Amino acid sequence: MHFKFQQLCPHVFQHQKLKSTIWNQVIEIKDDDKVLIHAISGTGKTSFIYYLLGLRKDYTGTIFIDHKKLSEIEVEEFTQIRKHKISTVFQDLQLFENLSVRENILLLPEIAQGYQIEDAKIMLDVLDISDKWEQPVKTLSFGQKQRVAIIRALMKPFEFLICDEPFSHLDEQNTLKCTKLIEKRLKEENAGFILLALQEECTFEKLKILEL
Amino acid sequence: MMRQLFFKYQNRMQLGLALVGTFLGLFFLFTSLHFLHKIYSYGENSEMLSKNTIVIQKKVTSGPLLGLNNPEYSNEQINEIRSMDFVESCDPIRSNTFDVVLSIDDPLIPAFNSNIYVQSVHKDYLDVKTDHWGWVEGSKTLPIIMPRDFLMMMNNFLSASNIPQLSDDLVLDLKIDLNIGPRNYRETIHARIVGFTNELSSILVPEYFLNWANQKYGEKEKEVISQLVVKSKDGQFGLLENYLEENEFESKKSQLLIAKLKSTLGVLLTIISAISLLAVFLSMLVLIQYLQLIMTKNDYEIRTLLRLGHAPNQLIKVFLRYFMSLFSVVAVLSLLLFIPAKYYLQQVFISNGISLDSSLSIYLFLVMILVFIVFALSIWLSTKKRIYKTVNT
Repeated sequence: MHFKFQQLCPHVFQHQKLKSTIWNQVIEIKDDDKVLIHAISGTGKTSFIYYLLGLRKDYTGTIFIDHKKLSEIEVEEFTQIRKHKISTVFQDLQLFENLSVRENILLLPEIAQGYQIEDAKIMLDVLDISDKWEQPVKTLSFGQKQRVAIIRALMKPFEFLICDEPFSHLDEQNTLKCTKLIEKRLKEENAGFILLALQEECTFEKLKILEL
Repeated sequence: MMRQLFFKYQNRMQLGLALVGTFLGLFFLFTSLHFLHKIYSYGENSEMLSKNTIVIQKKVTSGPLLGLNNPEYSNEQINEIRSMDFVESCDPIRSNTFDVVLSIDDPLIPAFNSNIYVQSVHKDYLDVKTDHWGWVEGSKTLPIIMPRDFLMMMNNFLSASNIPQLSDDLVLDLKIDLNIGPRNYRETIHARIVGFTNELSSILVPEYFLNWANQKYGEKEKEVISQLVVKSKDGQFGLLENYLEENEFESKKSQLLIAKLKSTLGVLLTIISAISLLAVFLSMLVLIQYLQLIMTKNDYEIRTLLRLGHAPNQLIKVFLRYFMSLFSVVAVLSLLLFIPAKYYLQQVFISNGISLDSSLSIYLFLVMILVFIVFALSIWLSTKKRIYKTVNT
């Protein structure tokens, strides 16, 4: 999978002279690239993810996905991209609060090849929350929800995994466990990785760092 | 799972009210449309006298008693009527000159015997197929056409005896015998009803049979021609009516009464149908509003599912299936309630002398399909509009 960002700039930053490796630049992220996008709050991290997923259009410049202008991708084609090629851990997690952890996983449009719904429970066990399997998500702490959101993203097939501050409410031990799970899945899918974080230090190795 | 996500945690009060409204609306719509159709087609296929044909007789006055007025038609009078421009044909109605006793021996009704009159008109005046109206000596059954008055009288008698009344279909299957001839050597002829008429008060039999029976058992000098069957030319029925008026001839008014009855009931049922249709559409509108409400409440869920990679059409199908299954259940329940209601109303009509065709009206199915299509289209369009608005947000 291939992303190209050409002179991308959010409307709100148009009148500011931004020093960034992404805004108003031409950059490419492709195949199995592993990228850490590091930025302080308010510099457009989440906006960047939303632009990339085609969920917001308040920017100038052009985004290409697999050499096709994002603005020219039809709804049905984008559905296929979201279904098969991109998996995301959103900053606000986007879980279904009334449903159980199991039901949240069941609502994935597709489970990764070689995986079954029970594998999600094994992953939850690795992250010490397998007892929450049948519990409604609304009864979990934010840290627990974050782990559920990560597992849900890993259970999908993907060519690129995008995580927006996925460990913000996790302790060091859980962060390490999650990192190992993510790395394992990235290897299995031979996928690219975009991690958005506030800190430059992270538990992943060999990440290309981009500044917002 | 998606159904649970969208609908499990919703308040169903509004949905329940809308469904009750739809149920009642559909029930009244089915009932009124069915009877509207049946009332309008009442008598159209069962009347055996062909179009523009009436039976006439001289107005009854006290004249004959004083020897001033003769109720019989002479050959000159018949020829005079035939010579009128607006008359296509005119023939005497022949009557029996022998005794006829009708007996019904059928498990459907108590044993029944009555002296009756039979008459015959030329086959050209009847809307009956030749192979249903033939009789030769030795035939197994004699086809007869029953006056509606007779059926009504029989139903009144059954009603008074607390016995279920007879519809047209049932009467057609009755085992009827005509016992003809003098009391001491009567011959039994098995008869079968092939249709009904409002124009005559006596039972119609094929001409050949009447001639045969009159010759065999009748007294020639007894035969009088007091009724004529007259067929007017197309579009000139009014002229014939004027002529009858001027010459103090009269015809039976039952057709006129039925026309008035059909028209009054028709207007009433049309109003009920219109109100029911309005009720159905208002209920559908409330259901669509409920759909909009559900979609607004599920805005987050819809958006998240789309972001996960679910296709918009897949989500549209979930809403469409949910509302269509509810609507189907309500439509089937309305239909189930309609069946006993139809039976009950049918009995009411029969007890008032109107025996309607008991089959389900085709309009019932047409309106059901139409309402179903309109509802499915409305749900599909409003869901599609809303979900496609949420895609890419």
